Amino acid sequence: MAQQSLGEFEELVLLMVAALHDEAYGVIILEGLEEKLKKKVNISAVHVALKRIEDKGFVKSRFGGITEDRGGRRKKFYVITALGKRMLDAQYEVRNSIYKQIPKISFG
Amino acid sequence: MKAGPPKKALQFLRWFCREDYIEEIEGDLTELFNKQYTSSPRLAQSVFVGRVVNYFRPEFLKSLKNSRQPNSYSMYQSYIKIGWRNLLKSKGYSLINISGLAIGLACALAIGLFIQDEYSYDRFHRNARDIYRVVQQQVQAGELYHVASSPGLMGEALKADFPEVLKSCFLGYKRSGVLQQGTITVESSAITMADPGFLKMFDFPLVMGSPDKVFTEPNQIVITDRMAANLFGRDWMADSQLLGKTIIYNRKGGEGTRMDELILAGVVKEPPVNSHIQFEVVLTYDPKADNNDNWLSNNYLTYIQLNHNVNPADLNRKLDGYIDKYRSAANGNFTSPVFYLQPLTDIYLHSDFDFQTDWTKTSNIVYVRVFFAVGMIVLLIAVFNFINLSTARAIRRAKEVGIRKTIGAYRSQLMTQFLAESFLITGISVVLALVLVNIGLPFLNSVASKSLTLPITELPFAMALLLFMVIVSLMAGFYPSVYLSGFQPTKVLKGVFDIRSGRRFRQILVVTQFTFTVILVAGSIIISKQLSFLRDKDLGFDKSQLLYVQTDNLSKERAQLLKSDLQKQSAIMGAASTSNSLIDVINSTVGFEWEGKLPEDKFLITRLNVDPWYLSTTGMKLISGRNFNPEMPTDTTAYIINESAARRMGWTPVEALEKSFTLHGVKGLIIGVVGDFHFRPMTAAIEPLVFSYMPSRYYSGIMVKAGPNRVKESITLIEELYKKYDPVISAHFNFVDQKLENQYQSEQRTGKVVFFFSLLAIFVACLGLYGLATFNAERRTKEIGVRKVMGASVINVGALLSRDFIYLILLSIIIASPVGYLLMRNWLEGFVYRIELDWRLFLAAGSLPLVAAILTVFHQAVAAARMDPVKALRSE
Repeated sequence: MAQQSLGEFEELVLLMVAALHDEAYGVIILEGLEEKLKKKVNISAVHVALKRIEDKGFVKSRFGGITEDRGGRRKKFYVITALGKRMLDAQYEVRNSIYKQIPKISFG
Repeated sequence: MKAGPPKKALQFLRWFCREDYIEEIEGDLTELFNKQYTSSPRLAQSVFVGRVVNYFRPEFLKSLKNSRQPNSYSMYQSYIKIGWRNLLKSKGYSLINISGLAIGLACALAIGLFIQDEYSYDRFHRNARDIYRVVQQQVQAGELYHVASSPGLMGEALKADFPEVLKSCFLGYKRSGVLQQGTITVESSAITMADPGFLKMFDFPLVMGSPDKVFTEPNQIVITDRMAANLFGRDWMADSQLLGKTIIYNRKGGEGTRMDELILAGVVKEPPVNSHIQFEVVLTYDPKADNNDNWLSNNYLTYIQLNHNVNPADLNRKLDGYIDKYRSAANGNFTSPVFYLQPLTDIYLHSDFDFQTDWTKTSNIVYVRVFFAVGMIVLLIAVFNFINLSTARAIRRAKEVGIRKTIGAYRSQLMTQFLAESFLITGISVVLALVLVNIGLPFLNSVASKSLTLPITELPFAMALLLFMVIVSLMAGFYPSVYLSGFQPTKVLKGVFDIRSGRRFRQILVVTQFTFTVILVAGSIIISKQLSFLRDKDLGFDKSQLLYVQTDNLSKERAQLLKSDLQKQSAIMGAASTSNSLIDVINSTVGFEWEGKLPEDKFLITRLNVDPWYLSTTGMKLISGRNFNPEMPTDTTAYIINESAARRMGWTPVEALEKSFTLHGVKGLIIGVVGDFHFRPMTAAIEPLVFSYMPSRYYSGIMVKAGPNRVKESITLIEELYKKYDPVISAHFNFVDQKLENQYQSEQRTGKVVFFFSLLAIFVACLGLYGLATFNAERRTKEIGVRKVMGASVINVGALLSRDFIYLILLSIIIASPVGYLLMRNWLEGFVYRIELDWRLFLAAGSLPLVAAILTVFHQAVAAARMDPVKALRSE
């Protein structure tokens, strides 16, 4: 695997960022994850993961405009980088290839 | 209107959260809050708070470097920088300040280490707080005495009678003897006896053996690891068969030697230095030994451990009259002693027991207090130096203060600045002080006979040091910072500066410094005078070249033979049997009658069993009657009393002769009265004493008087002759004059410490004075110039500059004398025989600091006066 590691939750957040391309910011990511995972997710956990994957260079960020809803604070949007995309591809490859090796098992 | 998220939580978030994250995080949180607020406002509020708290972790925290108030942080940096520059700018004053403070701190630190060590005694036992020693007050012949030992049945009875007593144990008194193992013999003078409870109560860990099995059989012996190495060699640990080996114990005792075969049951770790119980060998307690299984004799120390939550005062109350229940059954004739509990942790510092019943290692709280006071005084003097120099030199900082205030500095900021400078100086001094202490520790250790180390790497010490540093900085820096920050900018910037301001305060501090110094000097002079008085005082016998040879290892017959052998030697002027070494004789009794005694009349008389050669050997003088005569068999029931005894019984020395006297049932006549002589330390008055000559009774040793200049020869003779009668153990003897001097060891030690510290105090105080004098001379440069031009001589000017200081020091001497007089009288009252306090002593004590101060100030004044007036007057 690549020298950069990606934790499970970090991978989920990165996937979400990629899926929400150019529209991804904290609250949207949180809601998306909660919907997909069908469980409550902590906003602070999302932020920690975002900071980490940004440090690792998988995403980059920019500030958006001010909205009324946010008490005068700007949104911070995240976009996946080429490195991040390659990382997701590699992860997907690995998982897929191992999955394919699973013999047909029946759990009757 | 839409409600925002909880304000407090938001403030908190903004306070701790990194600046580069706050935008995003606060925004997201607010958005979430608003979404939830529409459905359930209350829940939204608490969820928001919960979320904020969630962010309180390292990833989101502001780094400490970019603190919330970057401004004040860099201000602190600037304070330190300015402080440092000021230090360098006036190197002389900095040197005086720092070296004085370093000396003061070093004294305080060293004394602190000493006191900490004194207070550390016995605290290493896990249950130290619950352990007590059972001690008693006895009334004998109308006098109150404190006794550390207690009856042998005490411990068990207390445990049975009071549920609050958890454990009890005994400890026998200290004796000496010889252990034999194979061909190896080792002498020990720290042999005691204990019962099985001993090792269960106290934390003296067994290196070998189990606490449940030791002291259970009467012939068991436990030795320390050091003793094991002596007896079994260095590799004793490797011997798996060590326990169960036989050790032969030669018991020293009144009735000659006795050999016991003992089984080694355990090896215990040597007791730590800071334990009041010190031993090398512990034998199993035998209740029959020393006649200890009764309620009448007080031979052993009893310790009890209480349940954790018991208040010892309650038990103390119950102990009042407790013994009557047992003793009335045994013997009703005695006044009941009152028993009470002495906490284990008090034993080392707070033990003052009579009749030498406490053989354990003890110190004296009085000397701890004296040392504390002395250390604090030196520190205080140094702190006063700092205060004096900072305020005296305020004029140099006045402009700075004015400018800072004009620019907008608050007074509190200026105070912080000056405090920071005092921290800086104290910090440097602390480092220097640590170096000084490190250098001085060996000296302190040798004076205090301790093995103190500087535990610089230990956290509690480092914390204490830091706290100490903060306190000293505040003490030294607080007043100057208030004083300096109080200047009014309009005045100081105009150059209007009242030179006299704070002068009175400085004078008071100088007087205080020198008052303390004079007291210290007077103290050390008086202590050394009293000690030399004790050394030179006529004791009533001739202590020079007098030796005491122990014979309690020898049988009675052999001891007699040794004595007559010694008497035959030409190098030896006399040898006599005695029951005591003449050092602090404690063997008193009320069991005697005399002719014409009233039934209620009782007092304690000290008894010594000697022989007819005793008086000539020791050089005691008969004032009436005759000596014992070995040719007269009736003299073995005759008595010689001392002058005090005769007076106490109502006779003149001549009247006492031929009166009948009965000691412990042996009736005889008084044949002589001997002049009073000191057989106890000078802290006690000479009490009644009686000599008997009963060769069949106990003798502990032989007094030997060596011929003039033949001491060495005599020692060789004693060693050789002794070997004839005891090939195994070598002779034990000591010089009486040395032993007598050792009685005042703690006084000598205190004298040395006070003397040393008073020198330091003079030095530090003069250092400060030097600084003040220099400053004064600098300030008056012009005046001096003018005076010189007008024709003043160097001496005139020198006197002018010194005069003020000399007055201050004279005032200090006047204040110090009565204070010192009261303090030292208090100390001297502990001695029955003492020097008279003389006002001239204080004059002498005052003259030392006075001369030092005059030299300091005058030297500086003359230097100033020597300056070329042209230069002084031209400087503008």
